[in-house]
Amino acid sequence: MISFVIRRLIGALLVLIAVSFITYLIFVKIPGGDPAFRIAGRTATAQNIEDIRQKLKLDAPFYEQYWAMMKSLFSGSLVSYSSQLNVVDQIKAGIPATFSLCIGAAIIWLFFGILVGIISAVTAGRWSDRVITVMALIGISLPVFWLGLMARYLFAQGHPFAFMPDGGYVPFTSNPWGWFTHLLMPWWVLAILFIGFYGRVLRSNILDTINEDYVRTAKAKGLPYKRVMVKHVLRNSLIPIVTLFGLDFAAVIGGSAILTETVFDLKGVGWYAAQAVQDLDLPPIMGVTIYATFFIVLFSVVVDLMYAWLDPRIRPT
Amino acid sequence: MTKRSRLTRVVGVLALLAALAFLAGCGGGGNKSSSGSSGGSSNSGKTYPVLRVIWDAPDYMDPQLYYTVAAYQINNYVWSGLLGYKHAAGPAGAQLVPYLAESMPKISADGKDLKFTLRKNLHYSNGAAVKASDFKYSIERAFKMDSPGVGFFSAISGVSGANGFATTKKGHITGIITNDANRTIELKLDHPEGDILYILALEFAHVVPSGTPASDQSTHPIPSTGPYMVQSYQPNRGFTLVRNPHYNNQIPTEPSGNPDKVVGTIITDPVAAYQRVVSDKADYDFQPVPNDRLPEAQSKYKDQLRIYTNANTYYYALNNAIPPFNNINARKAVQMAIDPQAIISGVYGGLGRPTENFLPPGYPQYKKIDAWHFDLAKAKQLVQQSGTAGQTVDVYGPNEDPSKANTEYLAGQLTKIGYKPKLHLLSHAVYFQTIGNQATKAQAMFTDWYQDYPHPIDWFDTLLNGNRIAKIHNNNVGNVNVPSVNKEIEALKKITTLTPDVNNRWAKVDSDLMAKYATTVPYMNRSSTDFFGSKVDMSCYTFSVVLYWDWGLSCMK
Repeated sequence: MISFVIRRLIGALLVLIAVSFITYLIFVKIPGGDPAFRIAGRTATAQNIEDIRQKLKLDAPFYEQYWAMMKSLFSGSLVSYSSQLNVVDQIKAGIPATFSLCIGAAIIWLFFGILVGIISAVTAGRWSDRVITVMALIGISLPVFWLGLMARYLFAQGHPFAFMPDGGYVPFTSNPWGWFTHLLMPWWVLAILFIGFYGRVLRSNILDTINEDYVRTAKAKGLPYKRVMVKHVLRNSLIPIVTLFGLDFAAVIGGSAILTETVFDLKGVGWYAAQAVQDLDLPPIMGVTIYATFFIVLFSVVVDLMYAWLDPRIRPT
Repeated sequence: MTKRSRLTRVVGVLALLAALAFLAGCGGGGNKSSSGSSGGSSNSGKTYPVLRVIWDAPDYMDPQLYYTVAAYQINNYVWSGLLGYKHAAGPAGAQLVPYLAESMPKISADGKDLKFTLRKNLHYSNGAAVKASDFKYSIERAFKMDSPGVGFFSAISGVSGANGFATTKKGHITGIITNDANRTIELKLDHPEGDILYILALEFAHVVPSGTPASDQSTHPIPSTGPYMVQSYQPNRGFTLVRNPHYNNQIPTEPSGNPDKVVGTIITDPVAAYQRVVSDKADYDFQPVPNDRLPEAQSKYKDQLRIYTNANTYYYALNNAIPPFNNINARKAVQMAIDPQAIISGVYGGLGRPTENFLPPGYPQYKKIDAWHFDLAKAKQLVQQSGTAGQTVDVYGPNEDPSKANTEYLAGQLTKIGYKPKLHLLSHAVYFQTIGNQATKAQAMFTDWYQDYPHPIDWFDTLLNGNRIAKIHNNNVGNVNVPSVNKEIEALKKITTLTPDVNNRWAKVDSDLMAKYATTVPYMNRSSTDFFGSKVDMSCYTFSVVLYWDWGLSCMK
């Protein structure tokens, strides 16, 4: 187990280096303009622009610039080209909103995704299954930004109701009720896509598993239906869901809830990433990329360990 | 339930609780509450405990760095310069008055020497005394920080040239001589600078204590000299201003402000910002009311809405240096092909005023130009006469609305009069440096300008003086270069006092460039909205051409 963890850590480091380097190359090649000019502003003198260029080492070869950027990122001194704000501080400031959004939404989508999948599988072919299937497909098809805007329009902007707050994030410590009410719509908007998707995947897995020989054997042995379903069918059907959940959760924690955070003005890490991309601001893009990669690598290790727990035949080697 | 699964569930619940606890720990970035102590005095008799505003994100909260309206409007009550603007509605708000200086400076006959004396007993919000040498330190700090404002200080002796402070950043600026004991500041210029007093009122010349680090201090608020100080600032999230406990009405020309505390929440989405004020969760919406909510605001909340037009001009720059717009008839054709009212109503929801002037209304140098009338048939005829019909025109604009829709309108009108426009829509991050690069060879461009300070030099010298055309980072994006007008601008730049005669000369510059030579196509002074909550007493509403909505003068019902 220890060697497995060490190997994964080394692998994670290599992934971080590779991802950061590729991201850097992509954004250096995109015509993002002269950062020195953007910092100096429209009324800057040539001397001013040159000074900024030297300070940022923008005349150095790209690999030196990359190394300097990574050094300042890991020493916590990297600043944005467009706002001069410290990138690590800004990511830290966005983490509470992102974690609040993602953990809440994940609980909702996991619970309802499993519920929907089970009901749909157990009642396969009946009207309830058909209704759930249609609802799931609608959920999967709805674009998050549209759903978010509609939710705001209907429930926060007085068309016809205005009982929910219209965007923004309230820290849990300053007002727990405000925290909850501000996140209720974003949680559901983010979760709806996943509920439909997880429900469909689980339904399919359960229907496959239910016809396996070991399930038939368990039924033949006279085990109660509930026990067969929970211990033998559901447990095995959940293995792909664990993989999905691990990677999806890592992705949204890593900032890919960009649309939800932007539509609801949550100012989390995803929102920060969206601003950086819009501004072609390389330092925050690099910072968020490293942050997201870290979570994706971390959760893929956790998924591997969960596999072993769910299926004793699998051992991390 | 087996022991193992029960244990697993318990662990799961504990993990969830731990996650929530972590969130709780992380979420402690909210504003610390304050009792709103009123250490400063007030001179209006309309003080109230708290003003809750929805604001746009300031670029910085450091006087040597900030440059956006969002930062300027909120911080003009925080840090002060030697000079500032009178807090008055309308054009009177453009009048310079002494702030930290006890009077307007004594200026030598050649306009190259300015002498100030600081007021007595000035203090920062941390109790430290304000010294004359702090002014010098503040200007030098701007250079050391590569501030966007340093270009304004290039006329001060010892700044420019190979050995100047702008290049070396070593030693001191020789043209600023201070005496702490006598509280005097002497400013020596290389040449007379007509707008020097306005430059000294810019935020970049605001005074901070000597020793303030020469790096962005936005999140470590710098002690202030004005009626308020920054208590906290979380970038992109919010800020809190409270009264400066050591203010004691030390700048009598600046109001002490009515709110004891200002709590700002940064919301960049105009719809959400508007909704916050509608639901009375905030008292003021900095963001413009969205076009689709404007009719509602104008009918249901008309008493809480004010529409203002600040000093700005939206214009199409035509490249005067290359075909087809090096031909005056081609430029005149574009002037006649543009219908300002169509742009204002079709793109900006009616929020704008048509113009043919480059200078915005409200300036004493403004004389309304009435030279062009929308006439597509005449425009087509002029294109034919110019011999440029059928030519391809590279049209540049930003890729976000409303600027995008505006640029598309220009391209559409060019098509109608016989050109073949090729549209280039760019990210705002690279837009101005792209069109400011001669290698781009942009022929027609969307652009706009908002005043830095209320003086014609900020418009004509910065944007349309042919002597300032540069290869890159060019602000004169249309390469406007009329030698007789350049000469007049250079002459007017040296005049510090704006007499009626001088104002008339500036008005002629406007008329020559816009009408006689048709160099540029101004079409709109854009308007915006101030929207207030129901508790705000609108009888106190004051809009200044420089300070925008003067929040310090606001009061509650």
